[in-house]
Amino acid sequence: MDDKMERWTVTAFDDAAARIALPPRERWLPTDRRPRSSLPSTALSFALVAIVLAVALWLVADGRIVPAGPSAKPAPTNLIRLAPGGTEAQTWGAVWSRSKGATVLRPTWLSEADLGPSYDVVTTSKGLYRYVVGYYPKIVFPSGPQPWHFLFIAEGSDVLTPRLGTGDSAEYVSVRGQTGQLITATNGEVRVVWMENGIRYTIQAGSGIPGSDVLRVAESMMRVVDADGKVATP
Amino acid sequence: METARAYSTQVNETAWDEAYLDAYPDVYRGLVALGARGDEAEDALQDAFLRGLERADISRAAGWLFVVSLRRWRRRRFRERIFSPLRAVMRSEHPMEPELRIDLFDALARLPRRQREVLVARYVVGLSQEETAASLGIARGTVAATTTQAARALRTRLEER
Repeated sequence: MDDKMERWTVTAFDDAAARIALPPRERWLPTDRRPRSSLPSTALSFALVAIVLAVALWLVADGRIVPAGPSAKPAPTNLIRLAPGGTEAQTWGAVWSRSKGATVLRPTWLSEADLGPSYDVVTTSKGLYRYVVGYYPKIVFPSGPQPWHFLFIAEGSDVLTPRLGTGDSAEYVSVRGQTGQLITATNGEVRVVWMENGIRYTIQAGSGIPGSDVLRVAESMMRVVDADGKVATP
Repeated sequence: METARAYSTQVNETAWDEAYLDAYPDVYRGLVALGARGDEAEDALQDAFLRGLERADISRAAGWLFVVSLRRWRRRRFRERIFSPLRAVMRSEHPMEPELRIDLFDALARLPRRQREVLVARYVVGLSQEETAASLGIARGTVAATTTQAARALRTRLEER
């Protein structure tokens, strides 16, 4: 490498590294100097999965597994699904079909393009407990935090209202004709919370998205009407 | 005899503490430059510190810490992705605020892994060519060639922006 390139590289890295804040010095050394467990919980999980698989394979080899008949017991009342990679309409359609009649609101405007959705739905025997639809950059790059993402959360009455985090600031705003809260966290992330149709809706945005855009996204939301993810016409 | 051994252990631990604290800022920044969140870098370094207590040799402390904590962080990130993908994506704690997004590190992340590691080892952690070669388990000539190639690629990417 020639001198000019060497100087450029040294300067560029020095400048960039200097901008990374260090944690307080009292956190540098661990408080407990004993070696941490060499068998973490994830290793135990691996071991458990391996045992279950081994037993299953053994049963299959012996031809002991037969197709199950209809269960006399009721099906589990809650359901958790996570399906990244589907289209936006498929995602919302899947949420709608699993939300037990709860009003599912889908955004029709986002301030960021190239976001891919994934979802997570939990229901109880009484109806919707919570759904979360996340929109994340399709190309997660670079690794680390993604300031441009949205989470659309709807929670039933069983879910306790979350408290404000330390340092969070909140202001009352009008959202879709309701009084809601615009909450700004200390890390710059904004979320809008409001009640509608007996459900608490939250839009949580990454720190790269301003509050005004989050409010505009909220106003753009339309009711999903079928399993194809179509929205009601205004 | 027991007292002498205890004293020796104490001396070694104190020396390791000093070597660790001395290397901490550069290695922490190196991990963050490679994409670790602040909390991940802290955990990885503390794990490496505890492993270092079992080590008699404290020479090349910075290179050893860098490589061990890098492996710890990568293992943890792999586990997070496997066991809780949504939580991993939702977490957003990071030592760099959005307005401080550092273009250099964004461009660095686009380079191949070996190039990233060599550049960070050399210019953030501050290891010499020999130390980088020994720590990453590659030949010194490879370090030199990779450094030149990676620095050129990095500069080109930054100039394209």
